[in-house]
Amino acid sequence: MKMKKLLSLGMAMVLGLGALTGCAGTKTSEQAPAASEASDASADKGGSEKSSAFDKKRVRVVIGSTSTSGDSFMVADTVTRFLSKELNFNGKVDAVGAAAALDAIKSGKGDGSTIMIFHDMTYLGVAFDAFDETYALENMVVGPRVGINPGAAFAAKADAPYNTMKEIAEYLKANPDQKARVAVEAGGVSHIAFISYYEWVKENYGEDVAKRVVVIVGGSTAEKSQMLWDGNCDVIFADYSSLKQYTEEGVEAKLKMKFTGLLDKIEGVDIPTFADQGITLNGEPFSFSKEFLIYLPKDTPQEIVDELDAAAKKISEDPAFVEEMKKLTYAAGYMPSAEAKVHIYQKRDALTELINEAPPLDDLTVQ
Amino acid sequence: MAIFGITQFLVALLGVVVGIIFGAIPGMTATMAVAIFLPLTYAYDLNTSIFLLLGLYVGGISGGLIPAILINIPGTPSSITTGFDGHPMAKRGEAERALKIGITASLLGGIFSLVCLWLFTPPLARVAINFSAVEKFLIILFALTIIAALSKGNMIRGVFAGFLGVLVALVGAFGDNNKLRMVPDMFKIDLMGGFELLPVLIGLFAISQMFEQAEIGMRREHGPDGELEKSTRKFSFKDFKGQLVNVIRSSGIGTFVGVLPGVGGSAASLLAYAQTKNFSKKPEELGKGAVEGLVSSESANNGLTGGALIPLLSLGIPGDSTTAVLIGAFMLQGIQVGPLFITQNPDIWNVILIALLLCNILMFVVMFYPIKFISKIINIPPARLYPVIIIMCIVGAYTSRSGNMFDVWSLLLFGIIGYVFSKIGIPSAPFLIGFILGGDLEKYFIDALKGSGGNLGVFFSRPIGWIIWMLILASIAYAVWDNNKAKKAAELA
Repeated sequence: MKMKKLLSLGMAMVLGLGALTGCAGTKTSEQAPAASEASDASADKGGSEKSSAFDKKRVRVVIGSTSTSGDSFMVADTVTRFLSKELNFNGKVDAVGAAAALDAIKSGKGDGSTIMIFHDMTYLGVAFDAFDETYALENMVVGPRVGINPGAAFAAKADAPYNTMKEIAEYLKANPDQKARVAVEAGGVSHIAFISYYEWVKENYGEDVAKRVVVIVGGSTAEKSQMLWDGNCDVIFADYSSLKQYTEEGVEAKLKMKFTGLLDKIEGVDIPTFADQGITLNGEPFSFSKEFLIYLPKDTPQEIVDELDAAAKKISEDPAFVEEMKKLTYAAGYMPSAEAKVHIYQKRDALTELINEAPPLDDLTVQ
Repeated sequence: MAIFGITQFLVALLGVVVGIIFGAIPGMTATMAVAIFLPLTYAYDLNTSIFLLLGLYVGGISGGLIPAILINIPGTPSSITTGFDGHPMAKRGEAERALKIGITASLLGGIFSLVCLWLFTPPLARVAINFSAVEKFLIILFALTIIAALSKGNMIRGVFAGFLGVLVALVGAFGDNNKLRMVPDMFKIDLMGGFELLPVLIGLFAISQMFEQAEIGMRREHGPDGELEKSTRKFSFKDFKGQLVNVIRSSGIGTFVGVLPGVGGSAASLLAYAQTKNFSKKPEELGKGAVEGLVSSESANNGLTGGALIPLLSLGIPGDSTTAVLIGAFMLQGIQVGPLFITQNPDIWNVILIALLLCNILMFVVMFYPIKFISKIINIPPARLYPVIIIMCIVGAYTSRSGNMFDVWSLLLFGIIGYVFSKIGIPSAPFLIGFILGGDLEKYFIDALKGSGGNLGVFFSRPIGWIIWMLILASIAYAVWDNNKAKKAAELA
């Protein structure tokens, strides 16, 4: 009987704790308007009483990926740790995926309690028609740029009969019965890289060669690597840092890879970039780095953006931050929000044009 | 940097305890525990982080057996089959015995996979690479044959439920072109990635049970399934007499499924359970509280732990969702896991082996001795227990995607579906198995076709594939024969 009472008491405590856990989320949302009001009030007073919108707050940092090992998480986590010290907030990165992250920014309150740190997929999803226009850049506030990952690369098996992306086109020209199957992710940065390459091949080697550069749609780097090892594709697109180990001495032949082209120059890395190989887009050398920006809900007051801007600038000058980003093969690359907005809009417009002109992926996939 | 000291011991203990709690709460998983604790590893060096994260991993996988046995709600997807025999034992009044058998089997499975990790990592990794999308598709198909084995006497309905589960798994965006399938316009954001597994799992198993209990009315004094029998049978290590082959086979299946990247952990216990049923001398007793069923399920899902680390540490490819999160911990410390990891980092490799051994032993000690108190949960009157379960389920569903209310509605929806299924005689377990394996089934089918240029003959083109085809056919033939036997027996009765 005594045991039953004890267990019942235990259950009651769990129930109470569970209820409190449920309340935790509500508390944040209840705090949200208060912070917004405080910020507005501060603005109304002409900023005479300057108080931080982030001070001692819980800040949810959403990212457009569900992985906790990719560059999205690594950059967001590093930036959040340094920013939270600078602005004295309690930040947590939520790897919720693109749809949920964009929705969190669309429906979030502009009080700094929810921010997104994400790369170019922020606008590419809309450009590729995966998300509707309500998730366009115009419906959110563009904050400062906080990181750059220049490490996008194409790789092939080490024994492939070509060494560069340019040589792939030459190889296909010389071997009319051959194809190059390139594993990319639909609607992602790799999709952009592929169509820019495809357009260049079409322009310089003709439609017949371009038609034999075909897409195999792959998912994560792990999945694409396995497709390469299985012989289900010939070239894959992934992050330089994640594939580097497979190119080193001592790796067994079945796993060994070689890089065939980088999308942008990486400091200290001697692998030809698209630009080095003469791959151009509309006559200009093609280069692409993933740029990580902070995005906020549309109604976020300018003071909050300014505060983030100042803090982002400060951490970008912190040698510890720069070193940590470098260790992950990324660059700090701070850009103020006003400048970042103009830059990202221009980049979006240029890439949207490219996407609209390129054949749809269904026509490019292997038949 | 100390390889092993008091700090590492305490951190491993913390990881194991927290992991067990995560595993035991329906809707929370080992993957969640590792992901939540990942940022904490900044405070530690890599060695200490490994002890913490492996503790969470082993604890999280093991904790799922508690609710599966006591209240027939799998705490984690990989403990679905644990409830098949564990819960009938608990209803017989043998809750403590069932839990102790499960915990011991978990330890044996964990140690088996650790030995495989220690001794056979390079050869097993080579086998894993040779398993292409074709073989992975066939392995998933093989795991699906458990639906037929589970639906004895009711095969048409079971298979229908399984296919329905596969269909529901395909709701959402098709990854190859990002086009939405079977998604109403108003849910296109919430359902872009389809239904989340955890709300579906706990909706079908927990919430539907609550509806049924609400319908019949809750008794004041008895356990969740009504009157409990008063068995006096206690746990003894002699319970494992005659289980050696079962333990080795099930742990081996668990480890092997872990070695195959991309084949989900749930497939491990499903495959092992199906094979135990096929090889059993008394297959009719499985599902009614047979020790061999419980041993099979638990040794397989813990066998997964060491197995999933094999491709991670030797290929750089995670074996399951939890090890995918573990990559992050290594990256944050500037270490790349992959083909050169073991040769270039022998110290860290030793730490991993020591940590995995310690965490398995700690898991056993932490769960085995206090379990007699935890097993009393089954005696709590439903009127007090169920509100707690409902709260935990809702919190679990809400947190499954870092706080998304849609998942709570999914929980309710699948609770209603589970309740309706029970009313019209459709079993929920095959539906869930179809749902869990459906996504991978489609993915590997498409990947195999992409690699072969659309040639369906690819599924019959490799010797490993032929062997798996034979196993699939044998498994189905046996299930049909068993089903007919059960029907005839029912007619005679």
